[in-house]
Amino acid sequence: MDLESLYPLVTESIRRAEILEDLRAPGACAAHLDVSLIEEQIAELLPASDAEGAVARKGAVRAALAATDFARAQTLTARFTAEQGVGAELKAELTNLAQEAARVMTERERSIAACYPRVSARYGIDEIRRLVKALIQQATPFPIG
Amino acid sequence: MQETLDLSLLKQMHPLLPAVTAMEYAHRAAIGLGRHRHEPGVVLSAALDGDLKQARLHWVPSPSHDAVQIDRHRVTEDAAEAIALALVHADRGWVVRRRLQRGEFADWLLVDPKCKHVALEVSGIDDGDDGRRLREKLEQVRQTTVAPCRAACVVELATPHATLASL
Repeated sequence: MDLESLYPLVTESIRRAEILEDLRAPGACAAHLDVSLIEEQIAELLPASDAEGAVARKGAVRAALAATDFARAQTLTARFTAEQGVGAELKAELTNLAQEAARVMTERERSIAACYPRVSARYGIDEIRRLVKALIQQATPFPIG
Repeated sequence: MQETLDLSLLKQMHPLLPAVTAMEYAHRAAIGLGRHRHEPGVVLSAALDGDLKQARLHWVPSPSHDAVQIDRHRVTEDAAEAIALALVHADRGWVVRRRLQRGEFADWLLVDPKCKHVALEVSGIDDGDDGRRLREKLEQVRQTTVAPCRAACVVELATPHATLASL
């Protein structure tokens, strides 16, 4: 797709995500993820040194954060900051966003561990998260892969 | 500036604006302006960086029952978007590139006739003095780093009146 197709798409998806967020609708996270994916597509078409390319890169990370996909936010930041032509200002903004993602992730881990202290102590939250994901993906209860 | 601003032509003014967004903005402008009993052809007074100008607003009227289906605040904001985008295109030749996300301190990224980027923050009020809202929005858009040229536009529907200020 080209920018003439992607720009109307990102505009529409941003508006939709904001409306769903304001309504606290359950689809808000998915809508933000759509925004992140479209911004990533735009970033692939524009260099990091381009003003609109910088907007798209920040947008992809910011929308991933809004979608609570913190791993994606960090992956994108690592990729974008390693690109050629990334200015110091963009790098700093992306790094700040990644630090925000890390902070929120740590907070969440702490909160989950506090809710499930025994599970957390015995297996670790990462393992529980892996098991839950596998359970959902395989669509049958046991055995878990 | 042109003497008329036809809100049904938003898509032609801003080709990268999604067609559905242009239609929604024009529709909500019809509802928002109709709320104050304005009819197509009403004079919009505008203060554009201190210059006082006027233009006639044109739109396709909407049935009165449309108003009950949409949140009042959403109508005011979207009506403001329609009028502001038509105004900046007519007076400055600015053209929308894309919407910006929350966190960028501005609503729209546009380009001027020299292809320089502009960050625009738009806000709408139903009636009253737009001075305080304009100051708030200027403080907000001052923080954006997406474009060297930054501007805020507040649209007040009761008169109707618009104020655009650039930084």
